[in-house]
Amino acid sequence: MSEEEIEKRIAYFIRRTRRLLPDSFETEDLLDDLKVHIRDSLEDKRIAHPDEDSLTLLEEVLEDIGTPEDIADEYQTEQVEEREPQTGSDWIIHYVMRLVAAVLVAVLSAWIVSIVTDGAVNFWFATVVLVAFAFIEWAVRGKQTQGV
Amino acid sequence: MDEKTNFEDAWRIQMRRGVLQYAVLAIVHRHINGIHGYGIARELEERTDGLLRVKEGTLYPILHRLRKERLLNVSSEPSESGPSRKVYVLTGEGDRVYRELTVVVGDIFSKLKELSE
Repeated sequence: MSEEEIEKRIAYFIRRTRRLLPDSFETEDLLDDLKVHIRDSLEDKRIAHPDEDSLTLLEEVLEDIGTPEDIADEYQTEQVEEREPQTGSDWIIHYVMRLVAAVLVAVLSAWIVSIVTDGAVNFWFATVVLVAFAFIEWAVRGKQTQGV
Repeated sequence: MDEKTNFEDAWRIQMRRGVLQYAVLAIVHRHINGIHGYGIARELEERTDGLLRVKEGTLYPILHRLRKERLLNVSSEPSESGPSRKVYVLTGEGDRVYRELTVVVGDIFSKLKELSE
C-alpha cells in the first residue's frame, strides 16, 4: 500500500470527524492532534510488525482511535460539562452579534468588489448575493453540526 | 441477567469517566518535562492494566477541556512522523488541583474499603 493511499485513508477519517464537530479553531486543533496521533501510532506499529501490510496496521490504529462518532460524543460530553448555563438574553446577544458581523463582512466585501471592478459589479447586488451566501453557509453548517 | 450486566456496564462506564480526567492529570504529573497525547494514551492502558483503556481519539476532547480549565499547558515539539505534536505539562493550578484530588480520591477509596470489610 502506497503512502498516498495511507494519506487518503487518514484524510477520509479526519474529514468524517470534522463533519461531526462544530466549525471552530478548537476543532481544527483537535483534528491536528488526531492526525499526529494516527501517524505516531502507525509508525509504532510498523516498527513492531515490519512484515505486516500498512493498510491492515492503519485499520488497527483507527480501531484504537475510535469512530468519528465516538470522538464527537466525547467532545459533546466535555462541552456540555464545561458550558455554563446561558440565559435567553445571552443567546439573543450571541446571535445578534453573529448576524451583525456577517452583514458587516458582506457589505465591506461588496464595497471592495464594487471599487475594484470600477462599478461594473453593482454594490447593492453584491451585498445581497454575499448576505445570501452567508445565510446559506450558516444554515448548512447548522445542519452539519446538529446535535453536536 | 442481561439487566444485571447492563447495570454493571453502565456503572463501570460512569465510574471510568469520573476517574479519567484525574488519571490524565496523574500521568502528566509523572512527566515533569511533559508528555504527548499518544504517550498519555499508551500509559493509560499500560499503567492501569487496560482498566482505563479508552478509544484513543476520545482522549483529545478531555485534554482540550483540561487546557481550557488552565490545568494543562501545551508546547510543540517536532514529530518524526509528520507535523509537530503537542506536549502537555501541568500548570501550577493543575498541580494544585491534582494534589487536592489525590487526597479526595484516597479518602474515598479508604472509606469504601472500610465499608466493604
